[in-house]
Amino acid sequence: MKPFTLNDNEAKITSGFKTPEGYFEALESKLSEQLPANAPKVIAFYQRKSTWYYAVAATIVVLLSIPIYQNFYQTSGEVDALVLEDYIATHADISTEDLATVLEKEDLEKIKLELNLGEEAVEDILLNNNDLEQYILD
Amino acid sequence: MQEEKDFIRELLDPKTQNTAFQKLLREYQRPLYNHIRNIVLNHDDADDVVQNTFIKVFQNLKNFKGESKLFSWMYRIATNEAITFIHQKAKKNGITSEALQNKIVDNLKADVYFDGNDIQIKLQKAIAVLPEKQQLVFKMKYFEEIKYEDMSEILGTSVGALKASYHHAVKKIEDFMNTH
Repeated sequence: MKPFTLNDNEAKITSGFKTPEGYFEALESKLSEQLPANAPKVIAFYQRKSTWYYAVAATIVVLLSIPIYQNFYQTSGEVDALVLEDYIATHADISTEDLATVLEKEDLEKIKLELNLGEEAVEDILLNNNDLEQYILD
Repeated sequence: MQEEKDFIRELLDPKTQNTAFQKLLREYQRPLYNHIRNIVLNHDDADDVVQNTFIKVFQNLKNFKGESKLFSWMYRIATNEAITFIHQKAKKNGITSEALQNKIVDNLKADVYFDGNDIQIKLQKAIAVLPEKQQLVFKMKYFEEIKYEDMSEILGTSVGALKASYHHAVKKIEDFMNTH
């Protein structure tokens, strides 16, 4: 038997591989669809990531601003002492009874202490007040 | 060469891209498929690899410096993709690439996309036992009839080394065919 050779003189042995019918036509259209111009637009991962960064940053800002917001409204809810004084001074129709109903005993004591005038001051007032006698008569 | 540069420009220009890519596909899909099929042996695997190859070609066209011919550059990508595929498949199956190829060759008779006779199967068996580089050189020269000069550009090996490789492969195959 003649030994096997791969000489050029010998008939060539083909690979024997075949493809399904219409394979190359299908491959062409399948690959054409994957072209960037035809493919659906892909959103790059880093872009999505940056959106997440914005969302997280916005949440942090909102969370941090809650105590500031609350604090602002709490302080603004308190009435300024000067404004209150001014209000009382300009509204003369507020009687001592009105004040007494609002003020506690402790508050009155405090006022009393703050108005603790010395004897000399009292004498001064009595001497300089011309209408004092009229008040006594009344 | 200028013609090739113009063609690459057409491939990169969105206005001419579709027509140019279809031209590229028509010209290269069959030789590239055959080249890949000769390495991976199975049609379904060749189909996957050829698609990946064209996608890679397209994605990397802007980086193609024109130092080699477009043809050689595409063949280089196809070869790398096919060999990587074989290695990964073998790894996934927990066997060597050689064992995987032997397994595929043993199943060729049952493959619907193979219509070879016993000699063709025996030749595939003889090729499967060769070292990877010799297999590649033999297949490219014997089945695909690629010139040594082009093969040298594709594989980055000197023509002399390729000729020696082919010569060794032929001797081993003849020995295998005569003794099995």
